[in-house]
Order: sequence, then C-alpha cells, then structure tokens
Amino acid sequence: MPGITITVNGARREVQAPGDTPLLYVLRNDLELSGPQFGCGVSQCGACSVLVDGKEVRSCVLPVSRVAGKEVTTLEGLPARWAAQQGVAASAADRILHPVQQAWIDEQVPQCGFCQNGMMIKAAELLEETPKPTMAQIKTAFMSGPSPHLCRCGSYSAILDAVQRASTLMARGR
Amino acid sequence: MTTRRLQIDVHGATLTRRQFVKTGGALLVGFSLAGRSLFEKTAQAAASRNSLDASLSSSWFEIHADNTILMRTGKVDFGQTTAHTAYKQIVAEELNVPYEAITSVVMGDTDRTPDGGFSAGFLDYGGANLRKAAAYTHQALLELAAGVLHVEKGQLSVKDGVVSGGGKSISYAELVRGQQLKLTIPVTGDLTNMYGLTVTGDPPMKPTSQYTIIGKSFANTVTPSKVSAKEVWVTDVRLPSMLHGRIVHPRTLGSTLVSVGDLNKKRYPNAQVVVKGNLVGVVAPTEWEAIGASQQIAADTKWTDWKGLPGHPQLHRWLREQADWKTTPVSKSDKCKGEVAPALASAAKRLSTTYELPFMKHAPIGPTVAVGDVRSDGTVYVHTHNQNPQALRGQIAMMLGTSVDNVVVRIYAGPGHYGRSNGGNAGAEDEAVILSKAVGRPVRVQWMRPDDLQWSTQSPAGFSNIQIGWDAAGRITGYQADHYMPAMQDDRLVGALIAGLPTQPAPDVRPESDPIGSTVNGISDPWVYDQVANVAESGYGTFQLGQKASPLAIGLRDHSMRTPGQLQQNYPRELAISEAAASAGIDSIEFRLKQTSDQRLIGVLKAVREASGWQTRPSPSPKAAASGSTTVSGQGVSVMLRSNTYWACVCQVSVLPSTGKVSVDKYTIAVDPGIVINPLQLKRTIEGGALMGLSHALHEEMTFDESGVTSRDWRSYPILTMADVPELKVVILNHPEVGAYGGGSEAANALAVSAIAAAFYDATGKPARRLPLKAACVQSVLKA
Repeated sequence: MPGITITVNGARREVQAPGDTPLLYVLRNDLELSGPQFGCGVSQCGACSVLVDGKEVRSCVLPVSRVAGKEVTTLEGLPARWAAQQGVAASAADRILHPVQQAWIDEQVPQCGFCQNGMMIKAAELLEETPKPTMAQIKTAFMSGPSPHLCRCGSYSAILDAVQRASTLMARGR
Repeated sequence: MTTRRLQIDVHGATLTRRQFVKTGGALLVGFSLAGRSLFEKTAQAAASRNSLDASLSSSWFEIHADNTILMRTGKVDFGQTTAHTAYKQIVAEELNVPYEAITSVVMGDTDRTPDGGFSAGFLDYGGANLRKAAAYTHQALLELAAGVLHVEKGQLSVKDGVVSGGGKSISYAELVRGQQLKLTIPVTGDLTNMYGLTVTGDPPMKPTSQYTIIGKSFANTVTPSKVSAKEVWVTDVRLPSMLHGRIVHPRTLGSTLVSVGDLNKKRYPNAQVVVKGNLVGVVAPTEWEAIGASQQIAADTKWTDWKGLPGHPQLHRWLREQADWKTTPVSKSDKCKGEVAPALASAAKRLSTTYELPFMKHAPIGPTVAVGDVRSDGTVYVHTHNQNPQALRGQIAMMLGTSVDNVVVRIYAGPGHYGRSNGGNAGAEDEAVILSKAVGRPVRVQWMRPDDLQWSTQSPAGFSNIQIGWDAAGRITGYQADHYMPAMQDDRLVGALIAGLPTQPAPDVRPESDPIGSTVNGISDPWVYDQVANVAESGYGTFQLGQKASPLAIGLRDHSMRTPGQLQQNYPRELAISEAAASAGIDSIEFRLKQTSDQRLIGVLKAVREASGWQTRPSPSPKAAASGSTTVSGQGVSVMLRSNTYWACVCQVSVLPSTGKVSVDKYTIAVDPGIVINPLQLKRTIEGGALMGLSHALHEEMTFDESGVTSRDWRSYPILTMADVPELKVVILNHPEVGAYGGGSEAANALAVSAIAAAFYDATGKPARRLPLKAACVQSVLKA
C-alpha cells in the first residue's frame, strides 16, 4: 500500500492507509491524536471537526487522500496555530493554550465534554475570520457546515459565553 | 522499622497502626463489612482479588505525609462535575483541609475504588458515603493528635489540616509521618448490585453553619485536560494486539439469524466474522476494514422477520387499548388522602384531561464503545465509560459463568449517558467481551450511530389521566392522577441476549422486591400542594413493548433517564394545574400559591416570578391566537420537588400559527437545593438540563415501526441546536439551614416540558397535550 503524506499540526506525517479511509480514523488510530471524536460518522454532529487550511471540516467523512498536500489542524494543534499567528516561537506552544481553549476553561463550558472538540474548532475558525462576532454571528457559525454542531448536555449557552470571552482574549493577545 | 500496636475505637470505626516506617507514612481509610453473615455475597466480592481489599491502600482516602490527599469513589463523573468538585468540597469540609489538599481523585475502576453503586443521585446517595467516611477520618486524626499532643480530644480544633489545642499544634501530615495507619470504617450492602456499599454508623459531622468550603465556586479540575486533548477518553483505549470490532445487529428487535453472509476476503483480507447465537460480529486490525467488512456482511446476512410492535403512530392508542395494565399491582402515592370522587363531583368546576409522552432516547453524543480483553488465564478486563462499573462486573461474570473475582472494569471519560448506564451497561461492553473471548485478543467494539439509537434502551413513553376540581375561590378540592408507563429499568446486557448467554431477568411483576427492574410504576413525582384536601395518585405499570413476544426477548427496552418516571408524571400534573388555573380565571403562579403552605415551594415560585418578568394575569393571553401569520407569545410555569430540592421554572415562548413553529424566547429557573455546594457548577449543570428539556419539548420523539426503532441518526432523531437557545436565567437560593444537599441539575430538563406546553396554551388558547411540539403536531392542535 503506498503511503499518503499529510501535514498535521505543522508536521509532515506519512500514513499507510487506503485512500478512502476517513481522516478521523487516521488521526485517531494511526497518529494517536485524541482531540477529534467519533460522534456519528455521517457529518451530522461536528464532534470530529478539524481545520483543513483553516476551514472547519468533518473528518469522519473526509477521505484521507483528499487532504494530501493540505494543512490539517486538530485540537492538539490549536496552541501552535495561535503561537504562529502571534509570532511567538513554536516551542512556546507547549506552554500556552489557544484563547478559545482558555475561554472554555474560564467559562467552565464542558459538561461531559465529548462534543467540545468540534465546538472549539468551530470557534477558532469563526474568530480567525470574525474577531468580534455578534451573538447572531456566533449562533450562525455553530449552525453552519454540513450540520449544526450538536451538544447533548446542553452546554450551548456556556459556549456562547466562552466565544465572547475568547474574542476578548484574542483582542488582548493581538 | 518498628511495630507498636495501636488500636482506637473511633465512633464505631477502628484506627490501627500497622507499622512505623522510615520514609513517607499515611493514613489509609478502608472498610469492614457490617453484618458479614447477612451479606455473604458482599463479603466474597469485597475480599476477591480483583476488588478492593480493605487491608490494601485502595480505600476511600489516603492522607499522606507530604500534605496531599487522595480520594476514591466508585461513582463516575459524567460531566456533572460532581466527583471533581462537589465531592472534593464535601470531603475537604469534613476533614477540615483546604480544597486544594485533595490532589487526586480515583473514580470508578472496580479494583481501585471502594463503594460501587450507580452514578446517579450524586449528592443524596454518593455524597453521603464520602461525607461519612471523611467524618470518621477526621475523628481518627483527632484521636491521633490527642495522643501526640497530650490534649483532650474535646479541646482540639482543626483548621487547614492543622490540629490545635492547649497551645500546641500539629498538621495531619506530621500526624501520619513515619507510620502506616489504617482506619477501618463500617459498611453494608452488596458491592456489585445497583446500590453498592453504604457507609454505616453515625460519626459526628461538621455543623453546616461552620461550612467554609461548601458554598464556594471551584473550577472543575478535569476541564483543562479535556479542552487541551490531554484527557484519556474511552475512545482512546488501545491495547497491544487489539482488534477493531463492529456488530451486525439483527434486522429487527425480534429477528433470529438464518444465515451469515460470506466475507469478501479479497476486499477485506484481514477481517474475521464471529458468530455466537444470533450475535454477528466482525473484527479486523484496522477500524476502516472492520467497518467495511461489517457493512458487507450486514448486506449479505439473512434474518427472520418479526413484527411485534405497534409502531409509533399507533403507540398511545395501543397503550390505552391493548397494553396489559392489570397484571402489575397498582402503586399509590403516600400523599393520597381524603375522598377524591365526591370532591370532584361536588367541585364548582373541574377539568378532566389526558396527556401523552413519546419514547425518548438518552442519545449520548458519542455512541457506546468498549474494549473487552478476555485473557488466557480466565481474567476479563473491560475498558469502558459506564455509570455503574461494579454492577457491570457482576453482569459480565454472570454472562461468562465465571466468578466476579475474574472481572475488572476500568473507567475512562466519555460522552454523557443521562442514566442509561446506571444499572451497569452502556451497550458495547458485553459484545466486546464476547468477541474478545472468541478471537483470543482484545477487541474494541464501537457502536455506529444507528446501533446506538436502535439497540440501546430508551426513556419509556406513557400517558396520564388527570382530574382536578376546585371551588369558587380557586382552591383545588380534589386531584386524581392515573399514570400509565411500561417498565423503565432494563439492565440486561443486549449482546448477551442476542448471543443467548445468561443475563439477569427481564423487568417483571416483582411487587416484593426492589422497584428497579420491576414493571411496577411507582409514584415518582412528590406531591407539593399540601392544601389540597383530597388527593389520589396511582401508577399503572406494564411490560416493555414487544419484549415477551420477541424471539430475542428484546423488543423496546427501557431505561431511566435523568428524572426517571418523574418527568412522565410531572409533565401531566403541572400542565393540568396550569390548565385548571386558566379555567378558573386565575394567574397560574397565584393559583399554585393558593394550593400550598410549603415555604420552600412558595420561595421558588416567588423568585421565578420576579426574575422572569412574569405578567400576573389569567391565561390565555389577551392577544392569544390560534391562526394567522403573526407571531403570538405566551408564558408558562411549572414546579417540582426532587431529592429535597425545590424548583420553579418559567418559559416564555413564541408561536407562529401559520407554520406551527414554536420557539422558546426565555427560560428562567429558580432552585432551592438546601445547601448549595458549588454555585458555579450548579448554574452550568442547570443550564445544560434546561436546554435538554427544551430539546425534549420541541424535538424529541423516538420513531419506530412494527419491527424496530426507525430513529437512526441526528436527522431522524433531531435534538436541540444552537439556533434554539433562549435567554437563560438561573436563580439559586441557598438555604443551609435545611441541612441537606439537594440533587443537582436534572429537574431542569423535566420542568421545561410542562412550562413550555403551558406557555403554548397561553399564546394560542389551545392545549397541546402531547409532546414534542413539532410543527405538524402543533398545526393539528391549532386547527382542532
């Protein structure tokens, strides 16, 4: 089986997997990343979300062959992404959190936390494009893409609080 | 190293010194079994090699010489944050140590935690064990300090882990340094049943008036690892030589296997098919191959047909006309009083209505997943995310016909289950064990989304007939409720059932036994309107739909969810009270205040009235309309008493009659739990419960046909989305004088449904006596 080279969180990785394997299984099982989660397998919930070239996508249905040559960012890669955007050395990324992650702690967002990977990925995408989103823009973001981002524990209002806080943290960071 | 005997009785617990040591030192808190002869099974379980041995360090707490404390609980945190915050606060408070002194929490693992029991009722059941164990430990440390300081125990006080008295002081760390001490506390119960072990006796507890840690907001210590992808989730368990498994579940809830499809070895060269009874599984080294092979096998496998269910469109008609409500004894509320029939007959006005609820799914956001590891030496390890690991241990041992000694269950973080696994199984565990045993390697079974919606248990449907009579002054003179609901707690392992392996019995008529697993429909919604003179509340139970007729003995299996039975009884009661208030021409909150003298209930009602912007007036709204393309608005209220906690909720909704679209604009809830442990976490869990309640009210209905569940994904079982989120307001009333920690957030979801339905009536003047309020259903109500 020919290997596929993908770039994940800034590192080039060669994986031995059939090209039609959904990216999620490659990230979790081959690269042992634990951020993206299996929630539905049919792009209806968002638990598996990652950024591909900065755009939120559902890794549970995206064949790994489709991300060859593209930049994949998982939850694990958010601190380094933020560090790069701030012009901070990548080595510092081990010691920091992305403002979205910090806001998620500050606002005590997770209940079970299983969906929060996708929520934070979506929030990071939104805030890169729209640093000061309105409440309506935040809600629209979490309704966008192949499906709304679903949380069964009902942490939606905490997420709304946390996105606003992250926006403030990022403005301060810049 | 020297040994000097020490044995002190501590309010029924026993403090011993095992030896002196040169480095370290600790006080370990374990248990002995009260009434050992009466609880032989427990004694065996507790003494078994894969469970907790009270003589080992696995125990409730370890007080270390370096000022750190480790805490263990058999309960599993599912996102309520209880084990990571409230439990630590309870323990720190009783021990008189800072919250931060508890540096480790060990949760759930059957060989590493002491008490077992379900992860539900966290504060009224689970919290009591830890509180008592901590109280014993505090007393034992005082005994030690009295001996060392030569000061009477009664003269000693403790602050921040330092014991002081008679002008002298010593820290807990110093008290244990250089020794191995053991405190043995008394417990009773059965480790591997639903309830686990309970700490007994009456150690002195700290008066609630002296609390300094309980009542403060602390952050959840597990949150940073969850948001930074450092948590080890159940989905991350990978064992050496582990195979990925998928299950090809039968075609219907009663189908048996006719023939297994041939595996396409060319496409799936490394996959293997496992058949055990009617259970068909596929394993492969990679997950993608296991998925592909299982889909190919599913398409080529033949099953018998089965039609044994009424189908959801006929559900309530079937329940009313064909279900057997006679075999199971009728349960009566302990609040029944007076003579209801004459009171209703002589009432100035009366209301007689009926209300219906659908089946609802727990619907965890991640489908169940588990790793089974059946080893050649006969030991079995199960890695899972489960609300009752000790009960699962017992169930797996029964399925395999082995001793519980041979079974260990390990627990990891995972998606919330909302009660689905509180009886011991989340779904995939037994199937992982069956496949692992068959192939002799660890197997990870991940249910796909349709498996999880179609093969898991659900919260049972039901209906209730309510009659209310009141006098000219609006005082209720008679209340009669007849609640009908199938059995709601089936803890049988579904894979074992399909495979034809032993399980515990199906829910049946068991009037003498524990109500759990019985068809008896107990009264679960405590009556709160104490001024009503004549009250009759009855619960009628029946068997699970299709279960007895299914060749697999499966059918629609039910399970408790968040407020089990109480949602099914509170929704009709509270909606009927609101309808009665409207019929009496009295404001709905005022009407409730007339029916009670309970000051805590009055307190939450007045608090929610003030905080919500409630308009005091009768319902329906003067602007109510049931047709047209102008949005109409309404308000509704509901109350609940649950686990010594009082709740009142107001929902303000908008309805667009022309489309039938219902939106909740604002949700306000007031809660009086007695002692508030952690206001921040309580607020967040209430918000979550509230939004799940909106989801129930607006979206959720499990669909099924004559053969099985047809809800298979998030399109066919929609839940609340961000677009539905209203303004949320939580009012927390702290009443430490109550002296008890009330239950957490779960009532918030049950309260929403009746408040929203009442608000719908207020907005439109039409009663919606069936949930969910989906557009098609709403339009038919509005046209009626």
